[in-house]
Amino acid sequence: MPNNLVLNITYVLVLLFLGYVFGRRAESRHYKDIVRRESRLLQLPTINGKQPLGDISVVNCTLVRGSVVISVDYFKRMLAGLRAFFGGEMQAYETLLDRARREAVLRMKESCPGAVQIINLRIETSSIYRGAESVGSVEVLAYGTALYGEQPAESGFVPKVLPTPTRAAQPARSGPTG
Amino acid sequence: MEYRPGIPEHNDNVSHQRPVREFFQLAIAAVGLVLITVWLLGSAVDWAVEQVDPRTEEALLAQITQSLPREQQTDSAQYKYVAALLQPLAKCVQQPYRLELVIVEDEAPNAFAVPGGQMWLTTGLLDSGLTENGLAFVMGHELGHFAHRDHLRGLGRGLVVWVLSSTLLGADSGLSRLLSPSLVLGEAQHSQARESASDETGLAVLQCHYGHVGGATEFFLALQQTDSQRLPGLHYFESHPQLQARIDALHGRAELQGLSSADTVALPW
Repeated sequence: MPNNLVLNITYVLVLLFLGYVFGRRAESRHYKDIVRRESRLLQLPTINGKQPLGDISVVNCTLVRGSVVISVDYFKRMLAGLRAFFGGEMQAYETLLDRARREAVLRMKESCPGAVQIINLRIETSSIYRGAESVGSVEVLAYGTALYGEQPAESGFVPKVLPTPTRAAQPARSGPTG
Repeated sequence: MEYRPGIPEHNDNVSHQRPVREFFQLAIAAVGLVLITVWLLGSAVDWAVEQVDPRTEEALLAQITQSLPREQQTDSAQYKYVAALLQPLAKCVQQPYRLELVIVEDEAPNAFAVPGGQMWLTTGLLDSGLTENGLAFVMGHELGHFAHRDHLRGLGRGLVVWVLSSTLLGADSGLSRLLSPSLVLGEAQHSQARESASDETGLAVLQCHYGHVGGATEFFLALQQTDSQRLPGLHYFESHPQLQARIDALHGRAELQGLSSADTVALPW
């Protein structure tokens, strides 16, 4: 039995270490990418209200959506397991959800080049379960209505024309052409 | 209303905590909690064992022990010899069971005190080259388990460990792998103490039956020949104490009580 224990412990410790190192690296890279893209897409107003900002002559509108599935690393899963045992704030999952929400909104924005505003923004979260009790990964879906048209200069802001997304990992999307 | 785009300087949705420190704090607390729970429930099992009448135990466990696979040839010369040896040895120990000897076909030299009063000896043990005194010590050791009712304690504590690991920690999760050593550690220390106490009973049985303690360490010496080398520190997690520690303890005990060794009797097979 002790030999099995050593194997078990070694197995878990190695996974914990790898999970921590790779999870942290992936998270740091993702945050840098998010901040860079958020700065680039800042000029596209995205609001959750039903009415557009300012006087806008809409020529086209379409439903746009962005979704992302992000998995939690082994270290965080174990940390969350221990936290679930004692109760309290589940800080281990905070960055996971924060990254997923921001990534989903970014993908939604990137899916509509040429849009002047996105209204009716909604965000939905669901967890993808691995087994009965543990969270494997989280899916966040952001959707809204993209408005295309002319935005008068006196209405408060001048939208910039957004460049087409250039991220290598960006999947092909059928964005509106108007 | 004017639209002023901007990115907040601070991310208020993420706590800037120290996850590694949090992990170690929680893990240490969990290990402590497991150890305390094992100790509390183990003590409850010990208390409950004292309340169980041996006859009730026999009746309860008769079904289980009868359904266990074994080949019993009570008419063989070997069985008769060992059974005849058991009778006087059993009189040396105060224990509450109606003992039944069972010889189990198994190459590994081992002996078990089975709930309900069955003493199992493997064929590997009988053919391992022990003298009668060496075999009597092993049987005396098992008689010690019956006297202390360790088999029931082991059964109850095993159940406690199993229930704790499967319900509290999840059946097969990383968390249960991480915390299982603390479960085993809590149980192993208790088990080692029981084994040492039964070794002392075995020694007393030899002295009672033969008038000397020759052959007491025979079985452990034989096991040492085949025992594989383990990593240092692992013996804390074993159910039995280290072989050399047991041999030393027996020598120490014999010396303390002024027990002598004399010639041993060979087995007829």
